Amino acid sequence: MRIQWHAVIAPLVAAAALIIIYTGDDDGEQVCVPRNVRRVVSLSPSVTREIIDLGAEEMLAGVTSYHPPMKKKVPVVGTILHPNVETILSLGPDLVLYSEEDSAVQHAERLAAAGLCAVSLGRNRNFEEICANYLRIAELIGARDAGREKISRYRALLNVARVTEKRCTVAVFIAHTPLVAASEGSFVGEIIADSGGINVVKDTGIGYPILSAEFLIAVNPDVILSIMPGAAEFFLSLSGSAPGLRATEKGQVYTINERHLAYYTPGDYIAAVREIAALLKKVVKQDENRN
Amino acid sequence: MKTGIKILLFTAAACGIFVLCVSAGSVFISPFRIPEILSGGAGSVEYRILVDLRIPRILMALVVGASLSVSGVVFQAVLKNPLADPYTTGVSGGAAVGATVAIAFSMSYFLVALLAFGGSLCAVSFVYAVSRYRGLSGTALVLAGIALSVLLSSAVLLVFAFSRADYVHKALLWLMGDLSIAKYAVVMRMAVVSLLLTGLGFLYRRHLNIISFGDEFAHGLGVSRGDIVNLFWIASLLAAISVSLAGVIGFVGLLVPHVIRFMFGPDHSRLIPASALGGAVFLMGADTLGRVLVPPYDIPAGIITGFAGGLFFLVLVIRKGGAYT
Repeated sequence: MRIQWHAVIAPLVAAAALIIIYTGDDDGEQVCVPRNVRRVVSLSPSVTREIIDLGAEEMLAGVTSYHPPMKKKVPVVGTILHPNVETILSLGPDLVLYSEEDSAVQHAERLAAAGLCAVSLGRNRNFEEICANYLRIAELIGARDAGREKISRYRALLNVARVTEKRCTVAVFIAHTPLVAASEGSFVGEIIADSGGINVVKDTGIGYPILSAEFLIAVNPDVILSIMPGAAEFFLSLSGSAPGLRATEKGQVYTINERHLAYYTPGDYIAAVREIAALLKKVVKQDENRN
Repeated sequence: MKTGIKILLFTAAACGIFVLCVSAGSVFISPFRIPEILSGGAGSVEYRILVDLRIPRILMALVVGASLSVSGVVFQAVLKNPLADPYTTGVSGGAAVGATVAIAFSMSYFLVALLAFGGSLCAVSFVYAVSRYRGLSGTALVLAGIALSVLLSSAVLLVFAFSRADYVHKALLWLMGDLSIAKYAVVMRMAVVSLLLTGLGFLYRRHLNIISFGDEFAHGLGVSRGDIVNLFWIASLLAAISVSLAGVIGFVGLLVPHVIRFMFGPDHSRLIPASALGGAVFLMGADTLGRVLVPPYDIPAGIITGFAGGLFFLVLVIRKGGAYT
């Protein structure tokens, strides 16, 4: 038996079949209007932290496995990467909140497909976007006034913590092997800018680029910050074979507290700015004393 | 045991496993309550779990498992290599590159699947072209597929190196196989296409029986090069469609034909339909196991099938030693 279609036609047929598979598959945009929200499942640790900050911890019906410390035990619905929609459904939430920061991995469209009222919060690239998302959460859970009051307070705190005079160059690393830095365009880069640092890793469209040791030596920052433990030893050993890394020579390599960098909340943003600004101020003072 | 009884028992077991899979999950729903829940309307949580989440996912597992298994059967016959699987011709590598690029550019699920399909078709076409240069021999196909897979793996890693961490995670999840995004419309249409391709493959059952005896013998009995090409593309398309919609789920097309061949013999008139059913049940079971092992955490089906396949062949090697053919 011979089938009279040629191998060239077969892929075309299959491609057409695949297109047919998806024809009319558009579920259409679903608009979800949550009312009388009492039970919330949060699929983002930052969102969880903000709900707690708004004094609405008792509304949390479910969280992901990576979550901030909480007063009571709340059911875990899976990981940030892969929340379990069945478990979420079984908890009967009025609202499911997730962030665009994580939705790439969470297949958030499954939530709407399961009939859940799921609301996406935007990216958190800087303090203003964090505040906008914070206010949105407050509105959704019926805590608008509390949210506005908190944001006013946070803005005032940031104005106090912010350092406008840029006095030293900084490189921030979130991993050592490979060397992953936070560029100017990243969330961490914004914190560095508000802390008075000049980020040596410029914005090239990649928020957290992998750098070579050569590049680091070429840009030679005054200060190296890292969220990894043992940063001083690591960069000392890195520069050992290629001397000239100013930060290691002057002992200006620091491990910073990653706790505040891990969450996109106004409070954590300000805490991170304060910590790094204090560090940079100390560095500048040491330099002045040396000179 | 007579073949008829084996088929009956096999089918009964498959039905039992299906019912168990529908019941099992992070929320166990008793099989005796399922008819009541389904007739009760869309109001209850259990109805939504069953109808919106679990059943489409199980149906997807059935269709993808059957497709991969049949693809494996055909490749093992055409390549005369019991270790050939649906991904031998670079299907998974091509799909991985297409999907990874789409995910890195934050494209929709539809475009991820489309680019994955495009990638796998390009890979298969390349392997076909290279092996055709060598007379379409089994060895040429396998070697070209392996070489291309290595290249494509490097391409995937290159995309990873420049992607955001969350996109890398999403791509990795895709590479592990993900049946959780199943939708009725997609599953049904895929089932039609897979059924067509499987049917076409079944029409070639006698050719597949003959091919296993060698090229000259097969040619002497009327199996032409065109038939080999058609079989190659039937198997490749079954694998490409499966991979583009469900990610890379390994060992289904390798393990299931072996087990079915052991149970029902090498005749493709039984092997093809039995492998389709076997692959469907295997993947459905693997996916369900992934859902219930560590609730609420969902282990991707590809990890379960990988463990199962690895263990199976380890046991086979230990038991048969160097005598395995």
